[in-house]
Amino acid sequence: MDCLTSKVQISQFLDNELPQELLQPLFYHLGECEECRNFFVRTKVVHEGAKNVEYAAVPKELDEKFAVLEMGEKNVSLMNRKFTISVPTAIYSIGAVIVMVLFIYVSGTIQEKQIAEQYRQTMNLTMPFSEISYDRN
Amino acid sequence: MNTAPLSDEELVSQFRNGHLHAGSILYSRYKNAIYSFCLRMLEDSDGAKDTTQETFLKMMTKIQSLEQGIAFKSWLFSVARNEVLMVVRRKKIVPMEKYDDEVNVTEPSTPLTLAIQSEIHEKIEQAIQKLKIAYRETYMLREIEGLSYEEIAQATGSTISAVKSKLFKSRVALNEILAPFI
Ligand SMILES: [Zn+2]
Repeated sequence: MDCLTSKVQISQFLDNELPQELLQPLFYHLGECEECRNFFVRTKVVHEGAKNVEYAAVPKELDEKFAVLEMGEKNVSLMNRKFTISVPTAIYSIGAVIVMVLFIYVSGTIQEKQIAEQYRQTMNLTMPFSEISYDRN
Repeated sequence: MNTAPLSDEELVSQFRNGHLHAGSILYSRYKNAIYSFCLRMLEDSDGAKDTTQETFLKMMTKIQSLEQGIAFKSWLFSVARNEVLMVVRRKKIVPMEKYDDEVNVTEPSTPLTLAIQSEIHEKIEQAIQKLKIAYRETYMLREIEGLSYEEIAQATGSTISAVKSKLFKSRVALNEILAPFI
């Protein structure tokens, strides 16, 4: 194995991307070649060290700008809230509506009879409307 | 009760369905990683702040364009990378077309790189900054972000063999830079 191939394989080995069957020839070469051994050691140190490189903290200003995501969530939650009603409440509500409709109908009928009676008296009719018959003879 | 944190895929799905809180978690999960990536690419805190902001604005508005089978993390880094490259091109910081074939490291360009540091990780961080931008992004995505070869290829619009090659060349360059210290 030449040193270039060895170094390419070291790079892949550190990434866990080197096929198993290439491991033995690589380590055989490393046992014989000081240059590649040094490359391996240094690259491994850098490889391990790079994992500990710390992140820089994002400026607070950006956090404030993207806090809108949290604020927006409250609005969305409100919009998406499901309004539920229990079965007894639903039955009572329907019953109340029916009672109201009946009340309006009955009171309307009574009012109609009162108006008709007033009209009959105004026209001096002795007989209620219901009893008037129209005899064609 | 299952208390495991939601995966990126679950959060993306919720975010797509209008749950902004899922977007908020994704922002918190990746804000420092994206900002650090932009900062190391641009070496300018204002530029990094702007590109990070643009990246997350695009996350909010273009999340629907994330295709099935593409990891959210690689997609987000590809968005950040595009924002960084736009700044690089606009400011003409460096000619991008030169990067692909050059192996040599750049000259130290910031006061930080000239300072004497004792900690090895600080030296490593400085050494990473000396890599050419195309190598730096690939190296950071692999070593700091832990993306797979395939995910890096997706994030950078490249091929797996190109990713392997850039990683190898980055390691050769870092070896040269850090040889006096290791
Ligand atoms: Zn060798």
